[in-house]
Amino acid sequence: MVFQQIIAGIITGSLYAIVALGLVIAYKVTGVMNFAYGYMGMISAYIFFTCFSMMGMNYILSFFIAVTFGSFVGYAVERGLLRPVRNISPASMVIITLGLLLVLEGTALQIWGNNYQQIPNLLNGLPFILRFGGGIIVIPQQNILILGVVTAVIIALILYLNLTFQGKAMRAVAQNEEIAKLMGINSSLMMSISWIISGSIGALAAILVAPQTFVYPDMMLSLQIMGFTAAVLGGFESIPGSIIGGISIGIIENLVGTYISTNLKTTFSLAIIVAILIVKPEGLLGSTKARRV
Amino acid sequence: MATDHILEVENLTVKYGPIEAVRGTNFFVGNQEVVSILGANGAGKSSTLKALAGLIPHEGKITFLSKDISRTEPYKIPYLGLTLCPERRGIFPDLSVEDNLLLGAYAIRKNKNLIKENIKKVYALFQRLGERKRQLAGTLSGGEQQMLAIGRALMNEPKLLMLDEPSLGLSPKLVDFIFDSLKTINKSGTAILLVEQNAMIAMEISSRIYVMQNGKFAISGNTKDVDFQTLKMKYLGV
Ligand SMILES: Nc1ncnc2c1ncn2[C@@H]1O[C@H](COP(=O)(O)OP(=O)(O)O)[C@@H](O)[C@H]1O
Ligand SMILES: [Mg+2]
Repeated sequence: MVFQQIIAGIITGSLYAIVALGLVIAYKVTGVMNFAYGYMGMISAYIFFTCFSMMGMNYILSFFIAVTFGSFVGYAVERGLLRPVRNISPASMVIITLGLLLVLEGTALQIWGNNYQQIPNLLNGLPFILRFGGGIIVIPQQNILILGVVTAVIIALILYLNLTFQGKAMRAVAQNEEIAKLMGINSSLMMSISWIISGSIGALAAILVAPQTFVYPDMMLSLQIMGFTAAVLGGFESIPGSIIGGISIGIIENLVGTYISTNLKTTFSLAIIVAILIVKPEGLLGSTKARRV
Repeated sequence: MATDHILEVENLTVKYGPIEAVRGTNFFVGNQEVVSILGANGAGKSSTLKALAGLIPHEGKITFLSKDISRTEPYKIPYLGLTLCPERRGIFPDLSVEDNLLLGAYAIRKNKNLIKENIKKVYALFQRLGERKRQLAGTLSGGEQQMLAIGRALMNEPKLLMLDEPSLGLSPKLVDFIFDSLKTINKSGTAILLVEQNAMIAMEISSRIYVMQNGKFAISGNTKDVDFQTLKMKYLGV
């Protein structure tokens, strides 16, 4: 029973973790906390729904169209909305993302209405059943898919940032934009790329979670809040921190939901996280140095 | 412009709002020459170098290797062979020593063999960097960070290396070592434009100097013609 809940927690937590990662990579490179993040992903879930359920395209093609659309949304938001005010009023960039959240919610409502739309799991086979000792653990195939995709994304991102020239250049921009320019790094391009990555991760998270939440304008509200919390718990600028933060929250939430109260699971989890942050305000893996990025 | 000038600057002006930090300066650097801009704190030296690197808005004409770079975007400047080693070093603290050097070679990133060669050259010049290549740059001592900043600036093989106060905060022994390295770098064919408050050490390696005061050059000329004592008393406020 406990193991079952821990496994379920890891699955939910892995979704929190990639949402946190998507938020953190954009924040590290451009210094913007994106409050519209989940809602940008929600639009991609609708694109998936439109391609797959309304137009009858196949799953994989719909998936790629929706994720590509998400990367384009990421690019467009940074390039079109945030960059023009970047040097005039950096603080207003956060306000712009809040405004964008409302605009995206309204747009989805206008185009697709507020019905709960269903999209199926990609993998619908029999769940995996692990038996050991006296207990059994049941893992639906879709959850294995979620865990696999999330793990692949995390590994790809870590390899990109640590081993490729472009990834290192992106970290350089995150640490000091002016000095990065002195090296010949086109920092504007790196900012665009970071939002493209962030946007596609957000789309991916939305499509993966959609079979459980259904597709509707506020479908990403909870995932966005928990993703933010995971990022804060991880220190908001650390990639390993986001991953550990996301998984921890997922596990805490599932255990609280099972053994204390389902109704209270979000409240309780947030209380535990606040308690952790009171003891360790910089987050689990954050640094105490004040740095923009 | 004289063809033996690698850099020529005409009427350079830098303003920060109402403050005029650089007021219409004219200067040049010859091929393979070492030239220093000296001056007290606040004279406008760093603003001059930042303008040359394209980092801050400026007026006037900057010609580098016969090309007008007055309006060139900052990130394109290192591709032309002009590199700034900035004030306070500006290393990337959360990247390793070797990754810092690699990023210095960003402008020549397509040429992997050249990058390898240049890393070797930097480690030959600054052995302590080679011994610490996997260490995070933020954990280096001040002197090592300065070596890293200079080494990183050399990675794309600049024709002209600009340095902003490389002696800042270093012990006299380390300052001597750094300036010996600058001599070596210059001997291998790189011209140097140096900005310093430490006039004595800068004059040891420079063929010409410009002395800056309130955004203008108060005096300029061959180093050997300038009387160090007057310079110190009148212009450097020491
Ligand atoms: N970012 C800035 N904003 C406003 N004033 C500045 C800025 N940077 C430098 N200044 C001013 O410009 C003048 C020249 O500064 P600087 O070029 O840094 O001098 P130096 O390098 O010779 O010490 C100083 O009066 C300084 O206060
Ligand atoms: Mg200065």
